[in-house]
Amino acid sequence: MSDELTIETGPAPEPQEPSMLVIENVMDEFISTANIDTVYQKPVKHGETLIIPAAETFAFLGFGLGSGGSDSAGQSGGAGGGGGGGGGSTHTRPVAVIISTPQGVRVDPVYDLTKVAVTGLATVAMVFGALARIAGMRRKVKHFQDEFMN
Amino acid sequence: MGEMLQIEYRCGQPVKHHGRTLTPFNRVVSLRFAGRSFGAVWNKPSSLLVQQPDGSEQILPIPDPTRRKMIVILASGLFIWLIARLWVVRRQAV
Repeated sequence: MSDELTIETGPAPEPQEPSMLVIENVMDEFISTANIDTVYQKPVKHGETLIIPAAETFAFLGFGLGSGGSDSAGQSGGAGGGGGGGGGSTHTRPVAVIISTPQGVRVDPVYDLTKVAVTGLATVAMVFGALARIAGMRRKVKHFQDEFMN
Repeated sequence: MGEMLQIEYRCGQPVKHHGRTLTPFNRVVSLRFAGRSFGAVWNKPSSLLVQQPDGSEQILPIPDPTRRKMIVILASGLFIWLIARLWVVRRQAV
């Protein structure tokens, strides 16, 4: 009796394009920037009080690559080309301020009235638009019923 | 999926003040799509651990009233739209 060790080997992984490797590295670095220093800023000391601002950050990054070539018969050498592009954005919003005094520690939230107002206006506009569409649909149905049913 | 969406809590550098130690925590949500050609990171403060000189500990949550109000407004809008839609569907059925 003998122990046999069988190793099944699949197809060898295809070598990645250098540009894809660069993109992966950039993406890895981008994801690793999500450290805590971007959320909690340096503490500010004012007399006996210590203030730590806290903010929320949202960032996204995207890339795209493309390449093509010419395989026309009759051409001795195929022409080809490629290109790529990318973009991203970062948004930061203050969330709270941590205040440490000799009496104690408290967290004061930051209230962004502008953001709430913009959300409220956008929601009201959306709801009115949807209701107007529904009313328009009802009017059309009523018109159809009046015209063809009677 | 595990690699696509990651949610983790991280701990920051403790800060000492008036004998107490303040340790901040944050929540990181990272997302990767389509062969790593798209990525997004959402970094949000979550809580603060306060260690008093006598050894007692207290966790202070970091509230976000702006986000909460935005969610309430959006949910109310969606609710009103749903009610209106249901009402119209019922009227048409009758």
